[in-house]
Order: sequence, then structure tokens, then C-alpha cells
Amino acid sequence: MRSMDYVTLARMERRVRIESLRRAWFRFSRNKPAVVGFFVLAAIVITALLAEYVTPYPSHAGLYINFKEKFQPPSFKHLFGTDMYGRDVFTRVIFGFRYALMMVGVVLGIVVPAGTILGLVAGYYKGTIIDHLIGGLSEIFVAVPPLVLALAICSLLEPNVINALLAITLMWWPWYTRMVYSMTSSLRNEPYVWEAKALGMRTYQILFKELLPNMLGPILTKATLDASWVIIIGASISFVGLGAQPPTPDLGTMLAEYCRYLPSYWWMTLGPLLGIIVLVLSFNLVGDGLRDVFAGE
Amino acid sequence: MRKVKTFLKSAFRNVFVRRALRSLLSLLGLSLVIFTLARVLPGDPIKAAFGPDIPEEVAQRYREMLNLDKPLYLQYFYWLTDVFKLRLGRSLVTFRDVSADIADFFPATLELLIASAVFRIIVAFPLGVLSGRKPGATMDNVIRVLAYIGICIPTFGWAIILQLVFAYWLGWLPAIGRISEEFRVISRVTGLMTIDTLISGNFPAFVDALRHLIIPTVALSIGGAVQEARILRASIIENIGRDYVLNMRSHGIPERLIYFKYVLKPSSIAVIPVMGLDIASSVANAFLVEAICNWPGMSRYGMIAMLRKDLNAIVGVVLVVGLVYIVINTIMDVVLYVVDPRARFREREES
Repeated sequence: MRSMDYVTLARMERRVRIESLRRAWFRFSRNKPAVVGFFVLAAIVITALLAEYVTPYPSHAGLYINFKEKFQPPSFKHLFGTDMYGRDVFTRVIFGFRYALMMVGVVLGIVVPAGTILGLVAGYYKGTIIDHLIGGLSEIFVAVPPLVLALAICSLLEPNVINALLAITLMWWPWYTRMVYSMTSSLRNEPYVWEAKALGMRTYQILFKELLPNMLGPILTKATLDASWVIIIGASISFVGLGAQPPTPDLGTMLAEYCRYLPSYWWMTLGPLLGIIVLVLSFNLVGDGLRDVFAGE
Repeated sequence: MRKVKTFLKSAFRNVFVRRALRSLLSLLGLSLVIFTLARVLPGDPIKAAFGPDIPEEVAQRYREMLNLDKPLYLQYFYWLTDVFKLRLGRSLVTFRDVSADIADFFPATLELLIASAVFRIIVAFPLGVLSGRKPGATMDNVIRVLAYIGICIPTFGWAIILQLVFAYWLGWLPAIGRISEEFRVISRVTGLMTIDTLISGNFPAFVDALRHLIIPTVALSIGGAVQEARILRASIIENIGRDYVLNMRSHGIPERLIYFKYVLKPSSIAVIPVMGLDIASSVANAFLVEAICNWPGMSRYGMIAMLRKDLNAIVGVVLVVGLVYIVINTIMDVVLYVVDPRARFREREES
């Protein structure tokens, strides 16, 4: 009898969860710009994953030279024109999406869980030595604008994509820690936490089953909005030459390369710039939509 | 003596001082982290600065000169004692003390920062007021679109676009540099070009300096400014629906007075912290803008140092940026304190 009760309870719980997801999607779908952003983003992800098959000149992504076709203005054959080695800029931008998205995935994939866990622990043990340790450490990394620190770390390492990723990851976690910390420290004295404690729940259960679900909305929203910042900072690092190096079709690297030919061959710069803008815009639209969804709850 | 003591006591009780001290402490921690990273990470700084072909005995002499042959904690200790004497160690590129280099280059960055802060304020507030006044009107929609464009074009993108349009195509503004060649004679007094030209009474030079300032300033602040306008708008709309506004209207207080005196002030409280954070982080974006616009400031110096792996210069620039960050944040705290009476209450409760 008892065990059956638990089964029904779990079933009901699942149903409630599905229902609330459905409602969230409904609220999200009312926001037209967010939906547009979502589909553009989906399209970008798919084209980036299938870049070898959907781009007109896949071989132009890396080292490829064809001086006969250099500096072609935009046409139907080359949507964004060609660059100084005769490579198709449009193709390279699509491949650039791949690097930008990889950067977002890796950085947020590490930073969001790590920052969240540290913030949860510090907030739950507020006032203890753990709190001071984590708080002090995160304050050190927030003492300087993220971009400067990332640039400095990159400059001390060899300039390549992996190290740029490392640098961004290293300076980004404190922002999540601080956000989760402030939410945890305000939630930790809620009655349900006390009750969970009185029932003898383990600390990790309280942290992840009682506290964390209440914060998922803001964390997810921040992650989506931060995705655009990761793209911009990543592009900035490679733009100044401390990230991905030239034959790599990274958006920032391409921009830096094409920038030198600016007044006369301006269309080359426009391609990667447009790529960054579209990517950042769609992440922002989705993030705003998510924020509205969670604010409505 | 007693006066000094009570002054110090009250100063330490002051929230701003405490917060600034705390930030300074974290800056010290940061210096330890970045200093250690600079020494521990693989790669020989001497070889990076002078090329791999440098004779071993010469490299050894440089290492001794820079204390690179000593253990790490001693290096940090020497460096820290130097910092208290306001010296940041010798640069491997310019062979001067880094603090002297930064002192040379900093005013240009400061000028850019001040100009961009001013630009931000004179753009964000009118736009926010305009769009908050009639939500849903054409002006409001235009500003909304502008705000989205502002967010998604990164600072370096703005710099490139502005250069392309206003310098290369239209030819209205100079694309790079700080002042034209013919005005190089301006003597350096404050280091801020616009003020120096005014002091020397050379009006055409002043106009020239101002024209050079426009593209980097706008590139640095336009994206943030439109966003802040949006925040101001949201806050105005929220406040205008409050009961006190209705109360004033029912008393027949003129709409203009209500709007500019009683709604704008509480609404600006929401913007000021965001603006402060944005102004502070434009120190970072200055790294890119100065590189693109060839602006001879500290950030460009830092950029060159980073590309050449000049250890002391990198650490120095990061710390000075951190210091600027703290100063701007403290100023913004004070501004908020002046504008927002609730902040004063909160502080009293805290202490």
C-alpha cells in the first residue's frame, strides 16, 4: 500500500513537471522575437554542425589559396565576397559559428555547474570559513573587468583556442557563484529548508533537491544571456591576436585579418561582423524570452 | 591628534571606505594570482622579449636584473615592496619602469573614459525619458530597435563600423590617432589633450582633438547607453503607475513637473548602478577600441605588452585597471548615496 502511494506520487509529480514545462513553452511562444531568436539559433547550430555539407566551398575554411579570385565583391557566387587569398567569406563565417558555439558550450558547460555548486555551498554555510574562502576567492576574480583578466591570462599562455577557453572559464565562474550565493543565503532560512533538515535529509539533498530547483530559472536565463558575452569576449580575444591563430576560421580572428584591408575591401569585414551580430542577437532574444517566462511565475 | 583619530574612526565606519578597502584587499589577492601565473606558466620571458637567439650570459644578466633567478615568494616580496614605493618593475620592451610608462599613457585613457561617461549620460537619459514618456509610440519603438542593435554589436564592431562610415566613406572625422600632425607642438600639462589645447589657447587644435575623440568615445559607449535608456524607460513606466503620481495629478500638479521632478529622480536610481558597472567595464573595452583607433593610451600599451609577453607591464596594467575599476565603483556608490535616500537608511541599518 505504502509503496504504491509513492509510485502514484512520483507519477503525479512527473505530470506536474510536464504541465509546468508546457506552460512555460506556451508563455515563451507568446513572445514573438524570442521565438524568432530560438529558430535562428537552431538554424545556426544545425548549419554549424553540418558545415562541411551545407557550405558552398568547404575547403576554403582553413589553408586555401586561389589568388585568381581574391577580393571579389559580394555576389551570388560568393555571398560575402572573397578574401585576400580568394577564400569564400560566407563559408568561413559558417565555420566560424562552429568555433563560437563550441566556446559557448565548453565555457558555460564548465562554469555554470561549478559556479552554481560553489555558490550553493558558500550560501548554505554562510558565515563559516567555507563562505569566507569561496567569497574571498570570487572577489579576487571580480576585482578587474573580465575581459582584461582573460586577455592577461591568454597573453601569459600560448595563443590558441584551448587557452582562450581556459582563460574565459577561469574568470567567469565567480559571477555565477555570486548570484547563486545571494539567492541561497536568502532561501536558506525558509521553512521548507528547516523541515528538510528536521526530517534528517542529507546536506547535499537539501542543496540539490530543495534549494537548487528554485534557482534554475534565473540561472538558465543568465546562462543564455551570458552566451552572447562569451561569444563577444572570445571574439575580442582572438581579434587582438591572443586566441585562435589565422588559418582557423574563428570570427574574431577573421575580423582582425580582414580589418587591415578596411577602406578598400570593406565587405570582407562585414561578413564576420554580421556573423557575430546575428549570433549574439539570437542568444539575447532567447534570453529575454526566458527571463519573461520565469518572471511570470 | 584627537581630531585626526575621530576622523579616521568615522572614516573607517564609512561604508564607502570600508568597501573600497575590501576591494583593495581583493586587488592585492589578484596581484598575487596574476604575478604567480606570470612566473609559473611555461615559456621564458627573456627569450620571448628578445628572441630565442639571445646569448645565454646576457639572458642570465637580465634574469638577475629582474630577480627572475630568485624563488617565487622572494620575487613577489621584492615586487610588493616596490609597489609600495609606487614602482611596478622594469618593462622588457621599453626598459623603463612600468609605472613611468603607465603614467605617460594613462591620461589618454582617462580622457577617453571621461568622454565616454559623459556621452553615456547625455545619450541614455534623454533617450530613456523620450521613450518612457509615451510607451508604444514611434520614438519608443525606434529606441527599442536601437537598444537591440546596441547590445549585439560588440565594441570593436562599433569602432570598425564608425571608422568605415564616418572616416572612410563620409570623411567627416579622423579615423585614428589623438591629434593631427600639425598640432604635435602642444605642450603636455595635464596629459588630457582637450584640456592641454585649451590651456595653450590653441582653439583649432582643441577642435581637432575633439574630432579625434568622437569615434572612440561613441564606439566605447553607444552600446551601453541605449541599453541604459531602456532600463530608465522601464523604471519610469513602473514609477508613473504608482499611487503617488496619481495623487499629484489629482492635486493638479503640472504633468511636466511630476515627470521631471518626481518621477525621473526615483527612476534614475535603477540606472545608476548599471551605468556605473558599464562605465567601469569600459576600461576593459578600451583595450580593443584603443587598438583599433590607434589611441595612444594605457590600454594600447597593455595590449602591446601582452602581445610581447612583457611580464611586469602585464601585471602593472591589470592592477591599474583594477584600481580604476575600484575608483569608478566607489564614485558610483557615492552618487547612488546622494540620489537614493533609501541607500542611506540601509547603510545605517548595516552599521
